Amino acid sequence: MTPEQRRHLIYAPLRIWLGLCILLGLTATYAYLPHVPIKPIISLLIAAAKGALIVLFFMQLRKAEAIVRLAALVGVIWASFLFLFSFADFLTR
Amino acid sequence: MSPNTQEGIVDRELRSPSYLQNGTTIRSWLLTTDHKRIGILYAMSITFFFFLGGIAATLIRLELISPTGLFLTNDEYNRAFTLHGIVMVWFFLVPSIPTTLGNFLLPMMIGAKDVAFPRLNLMSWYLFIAGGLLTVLALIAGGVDTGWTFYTPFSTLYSNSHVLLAAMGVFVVGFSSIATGVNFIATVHLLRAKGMTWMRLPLFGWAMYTTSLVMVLATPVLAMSLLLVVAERAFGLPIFDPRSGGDPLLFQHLFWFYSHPAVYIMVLPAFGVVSEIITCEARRRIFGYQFMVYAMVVIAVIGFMVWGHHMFVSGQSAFASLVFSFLSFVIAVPSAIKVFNWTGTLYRGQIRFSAPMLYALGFIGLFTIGGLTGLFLASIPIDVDLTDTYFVVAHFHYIMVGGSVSAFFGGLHFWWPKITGRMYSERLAQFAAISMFFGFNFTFFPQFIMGWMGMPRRYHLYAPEFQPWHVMSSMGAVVLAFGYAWPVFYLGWSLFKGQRAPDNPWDATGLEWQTRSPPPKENFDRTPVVTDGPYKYHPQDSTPHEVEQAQAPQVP
Amino acid sequence: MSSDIIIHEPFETAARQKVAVPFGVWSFLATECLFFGGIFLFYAYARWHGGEAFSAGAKETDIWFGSANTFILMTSSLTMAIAERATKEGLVRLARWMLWATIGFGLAFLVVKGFEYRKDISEHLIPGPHFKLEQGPAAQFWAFYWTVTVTHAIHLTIGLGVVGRLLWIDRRGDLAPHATTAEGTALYWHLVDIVWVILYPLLYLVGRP
Repeated sequence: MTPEQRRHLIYAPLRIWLGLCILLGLTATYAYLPHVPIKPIISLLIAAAKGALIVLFFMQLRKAEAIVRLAALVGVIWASFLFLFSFADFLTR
Repeated sequence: MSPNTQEGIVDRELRSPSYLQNGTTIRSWLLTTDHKRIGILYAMSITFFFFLGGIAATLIRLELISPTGLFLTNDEYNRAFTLHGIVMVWFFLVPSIPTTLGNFLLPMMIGAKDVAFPRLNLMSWYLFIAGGLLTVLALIAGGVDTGWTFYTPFSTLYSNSHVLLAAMGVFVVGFSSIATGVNFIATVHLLRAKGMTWMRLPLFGWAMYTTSLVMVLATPVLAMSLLLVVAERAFGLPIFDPRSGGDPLLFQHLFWFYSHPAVYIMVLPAFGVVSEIITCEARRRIFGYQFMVYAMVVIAVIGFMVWGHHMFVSGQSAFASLVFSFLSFVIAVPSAIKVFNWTGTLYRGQIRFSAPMLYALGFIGLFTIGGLTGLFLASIPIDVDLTDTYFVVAHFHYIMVGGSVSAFFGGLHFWWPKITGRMYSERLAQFAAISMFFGFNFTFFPQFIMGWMGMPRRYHLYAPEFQPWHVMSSMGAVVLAFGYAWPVFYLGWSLFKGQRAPDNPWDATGLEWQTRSPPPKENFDRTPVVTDGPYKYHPQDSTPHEVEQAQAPQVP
Repeated sequence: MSSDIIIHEPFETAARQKVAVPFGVWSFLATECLFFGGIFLFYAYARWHGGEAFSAGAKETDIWFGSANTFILMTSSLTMAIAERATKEGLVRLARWMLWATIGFGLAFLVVKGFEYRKDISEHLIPGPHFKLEQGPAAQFWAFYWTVTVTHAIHLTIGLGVVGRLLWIDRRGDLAPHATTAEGTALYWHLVDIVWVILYPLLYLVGRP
């Protein structure tokens, strides 16, 4: 294994993993802190950040072709339709 | 489109065998990864389910001849219309055009050797069969009585029928749809022949692409809603149960998030088929190609945002109803663009009233009636009055049966020579097309009238004043059944005794016609290169009529 | 660097084929996104509608099991990412070890989940006649818990199957030319991880003191 390969194969993913672990510690700690605001939002934001790390780096969406990115994006956009229109009903009853 | 097949004629002796001769054992069919053979496998399977659903329809129409019912109990009647709905929607209409004509033609139309994932394609057929077996098992075990919509809490808490088996059947067949969808999307993106740009794609290709988009993005939500039904029914987990604070409307939202776009899964492929037939049989370029494309894309996207019009009387908020109603009107615009453009295509064309053309023209008429009555139902005040009446039944049959099934039969005839290598009897086919058109209107137009008068759907006992309309409808169904069964005979005859078909009997321009009938396994003897847009039936600036006049001998 | 990919039937060029697998798998992942989107909509509705009573149900989950499993699954994603990159670089030995590690972590997740289920069952946390809490939004939380964790576990088991398939390809001795297969497998495995990462706050962090 060349040093270049070692960097690309081992260290880069390891850094992402470390980031994930830190975020996990952060979110668990925040949930137990007394008297802090907007717990659900923070926990979901951290989950989204972890998801973004996995998608962009582990799944290499950052370097993927345009159509692959499009396919990834479409799922999220369409799921938002589901939430948007269902809650348009729930919230206005 | 002019593929460069002129470079040299491949010697007849050296040509590879057609896809039909390339292995003739049962095994070579069941393990095939050839998209054309998988199309045939699908065609045989959906034909079976079409007749199964047809038997249920026959029972329903017979039962409804008398206002007091003829021979079914309440429970049996519920099971009959549920079976009809489930089988026809998921085992015939949704897979009909995409998995048969789509599988067969899409790779050929874009100049590819196969779909992007041939083994996945075969797997999707096996999933279809597995889902079909589960549903047939539910039928044998005694059937389901929830209606095809599986509405909770009835389906999860009260129904004493085989909901679980049927739901699992539909769940599995959903994954077969997803597999087909993923496959087609990747095929269109990655396997277009050299020169086949997006704006040179035949409209059938665009139809398959947009349909696949809807399949891939809508079907998983159906899978989840059925999974939740199974969880509540089989394990008693309170999900939609109002006693635990659950909301049956949540189920309806999830269900219609799939099932409304599913209507577009059924009708977008029909748009594609009809565009191919009308251009060829009118010898005309399509009127407004780009708008035809945009219309399909817009329908595929907006189709996801109108589902609440199925829930106007369910207790959904007035605001949500308003939004869904508005968007339902919006989606009529691209549909109307398509109808006008087909009509515009006919203008100054040289129309051949062949059997496929009769089916296609029938499609336009029936789809227009279905679409316009859809606008009635999209407006809330009228829908409140007409919900769960025969008006709704007639409306969606005009779209799904009058529209999609006509187009399916039209496509089947149009490409029959390509698929089988045999010609069918034109006269008999025209007769079938006409009897289908009349039988259909005869069956379903009375349903508009009695629905308007207040005849509720899903009842087999009704007030006597509706009887004339029901009798008329049932008599029409006899003609319609003839229209569906008749092609089995002459097409079956053509399979064995029909005249050998030339490569391009209709003189059409699509790539699929530039190869042999039936095609070789690799589709083309020479990989085609595309240099022009589709439907080049006449020079850009003149109609075929003008061309003919210019070439006619001058009379002094 | 081994770039000699086998070209399968419908493809004319290796470049197109290389895009096909990630594109196909991502399209499938979009499907998964909507599949889980459906059950998340149930969660969102129940949490919004059930309010405090819903969070009260969530208090009964065991954060230790949940956090341990999050850690395990994130680590399996790491080994999977290394395995996939190593396959692409032709470092088959490293890839093999990392695939085995991924399977190991996946199994560990299921074992921890099994212990967690045992605890849940012994505490009567299954909605029904013997349910520990009141029927109502708390029961809805647990309906969500059971449905979604079982669905996730099934996904993970399928993931174990496809990773196992890579090892089987490796046994035949041609892992390196199957780099795109490895890529598709890795994408699926990471998705299973992401679903869990989102489930973690929804199941284990709601209603902590």
